[in-house]
This record gives sequence, structure tokens and C-alpha cells, in this order.
Amino acid sequence: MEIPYTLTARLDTGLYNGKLGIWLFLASEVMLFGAIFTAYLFVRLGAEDGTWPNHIQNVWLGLTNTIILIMSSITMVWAWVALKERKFNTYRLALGITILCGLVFLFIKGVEYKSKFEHFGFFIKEDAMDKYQPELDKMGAFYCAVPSQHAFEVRGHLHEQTADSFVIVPDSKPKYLIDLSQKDKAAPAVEESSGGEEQTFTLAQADIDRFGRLLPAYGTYYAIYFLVTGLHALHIVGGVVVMLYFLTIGSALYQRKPEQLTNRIEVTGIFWHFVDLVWITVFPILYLT
Amino acid sequence: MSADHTDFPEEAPHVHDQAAEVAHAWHHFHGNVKFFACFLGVILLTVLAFNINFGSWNTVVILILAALRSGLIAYFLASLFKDFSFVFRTLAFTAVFFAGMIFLSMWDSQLKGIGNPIKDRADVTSQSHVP
Repeated sequence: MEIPYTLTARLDTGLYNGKLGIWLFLASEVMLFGAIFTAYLFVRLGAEDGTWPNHIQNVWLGLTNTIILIMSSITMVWAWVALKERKFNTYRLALGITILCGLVFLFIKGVEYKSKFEHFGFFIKEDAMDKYQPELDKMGAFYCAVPSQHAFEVRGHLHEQTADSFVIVPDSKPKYLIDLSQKDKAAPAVEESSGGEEQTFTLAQADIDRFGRLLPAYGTYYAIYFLVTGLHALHIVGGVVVMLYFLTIGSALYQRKPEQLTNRIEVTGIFWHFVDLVWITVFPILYLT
Repeated sequence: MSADHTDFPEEAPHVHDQAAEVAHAWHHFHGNVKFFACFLGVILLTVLAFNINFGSWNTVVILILAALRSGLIAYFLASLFKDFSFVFRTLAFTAVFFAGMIFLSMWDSQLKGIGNPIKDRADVTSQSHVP
């Protein structure tokens, strides 16, 4: 039996089946991401002052990914236009570039995740902070107080771990972080590193309240970061798998019903645009903080 | 006609219809390119603004850029379904649920005595300092 409305629009909806389906699916997706963004809003507003991570993401990697996704949205429309023109080779080229963009996006995301797995955060006990503060200031390292935990947080790369201490390379103070307690004081002199050598800093294990990698369990920001970007990456994977199908096995439909393949690519394109728009929302929220 | 053009004897669309469809498709493509170029421009402006300290104007700049971005997203979605009132009505329900969800969350917070998070945050910010 022939399924109706795969090519032409129904009179009552004005849409063919696939398009109606994808819009309903996207409506549910808006609710899913909407719920997560709302949760983010409340978590962000509830964070203790000065504890929400600032300037910790690699903005250039995030921007590169944004440009790649925007490019892929354009090539996706190009693939659809090529099918409309019945130019199969152009369609394959455009869809291939779109898939490649998706894969590059995932690779860059992997690089970002890897750096999170290698990054640590240390909570120094409040009463032990006096002996570390001068040196941290001198290095221009970033640290912040976490009043509810009676501790100071220092983030950085673990250089070496011994039986009773951690040797770390602390993160620098963000360039434009507004430190209200320091606003009336002169900025502490920062020792210039000679020869590009990493400045290490030693923390006694006895002075550490807790420490961990910058993974979801570390804190709310990282939980939200991995949830949102992970969910988005899964959508990219889904899109790439569907496009790979239409580039290979699914493209056989072109010989029998080219208009149906065109519709399928249009529907895939709408999904891909949505994934692109979600990323454009995520980028400023999580990277430009 | 390009070299990869293929004919389909069993399903050859009417020449005039196809020409109109192709022209429409190209029009759509050019519209998309312009839109994404605009969006990229706004994103680059946002990144630029992120690296500049505007002092007391920070909030104003952030809000203007956020409004530009969300406006562009709304425009793009509208351009995708402007011909289909059914889809528009369906998505309107999404907006209603989304707004309802925020309202219920804030109402629930007040019932539990947590208070208005936005107002509380403003109060805390005005009193506290970063060590």
C-alpha cells in the first residue's frame, strides 16, 4: 500500500508527513533544551558570589565550532538545492562536506573534553590559606573563596603528586575578572616567567579539603556544561548518522523517487538547523562567562 | 546544464514547475547564506565584546547582543514555517509550556520561602564582596 502525503502536502496541515513529523519532534526538543536552560538559569542565580567559573573555556575552540556548524548549515541547504536541480554529484559533495563539518565539530569537542579530564581543582582549607595567598598573588594565579565550604578554590594542571603534596601549575587570573576586594588596591606584581617555563606551585596535602578533576561531580557549572554539550553532541552524532545513511544506502532512492529523497533531505536539514541554533545559544552561555 | 545532470523518465516533473521550484530553492539558499552571515557577524561581535571591559555599560552591551541573537533565531524559525500556520500554532504551545514552566518554578520557589531568585541575587550582589 502506498503511504499518502510523502511527496505532497496534506490540505489540512499544509505539510507532507515528514515535515509535520520533524516539527513536532523539534517542539519536544525545544521543551527538552528549554527545561535544561531554565535549570541553568536557576543554578547560575543561586551560585555563591565569585564562585561561578569565569573565563575557563577555550573561546577560540568554541568559536571555531560555531563557524563550522554555521558553514555546515549552508552546505546542508546546498545539498537540498542540488537535489531540486537533480544534480546528484553536487548533492553528494554538499552532503559530504556537511558530514565532515559534523565530524570536525565532534573532534574539537573531544579535544575540549580531554582538557577537562586533565584539569584539576583544589579546595584549600580556610585557615591554611594565609601561607599560600602571597605566593598565589605574586604568580597572578586565580583563586576564589567558597564561603559555604570554608575553603579557597585554586584550579590548574597537576604537575606532580608526591606522598604529602601536590605540585600544580595554577590557572592565571582572568583578564577582566572584577575583584571587588582589590579595586582600591594596586595590582600585585606578577613575576614574569623567563623562557616560557611553567610556574609551579606546591600545596601540602594536609591543607587540602578536597580536590578533583573538572568533571560533572566537581561542581554545578561542570555538571551543566557536560550535560548541555554532551546532549548537543549526541544530536550531532544522530544528524551525522542520518546524513551518512542518505549519502550511501539511502541515496538509492534517488533513482526511483528523487522528489522523496529531496523531502527527506529537507527534513534532515531542518533538524540540522535546529542543532546549529541550539549551539549558537549554548556558546555564549557556557563559553562567554 | 552541468555534467552531473540526470534525467528521470518515470518521474519527470513538469518543466515549468521544476524551474519555479529550483528558482525558489536558490532564493531560499541565498536567504540562508545572508542569515548565517549576519549571525556569524553577531557572534563575532559578542566574542569581541567579551574581551572588552565596558565598565558600567557591560550589562547594556550584553543585553543588546543577546537581544540581537535571540531576534535572529526567532526570525530564522519564523522564516522556516511562515507558510504553515499549523506548525506555528504547534510551536506556540511550546512557548506556552515554556513560559508556564518558568512561572511554576518561580511560584514554587516563593511557596517554599526561597524567594525571588533574581531579586535576592541583586540584594546579595549589592552587599557582598569577592575576597
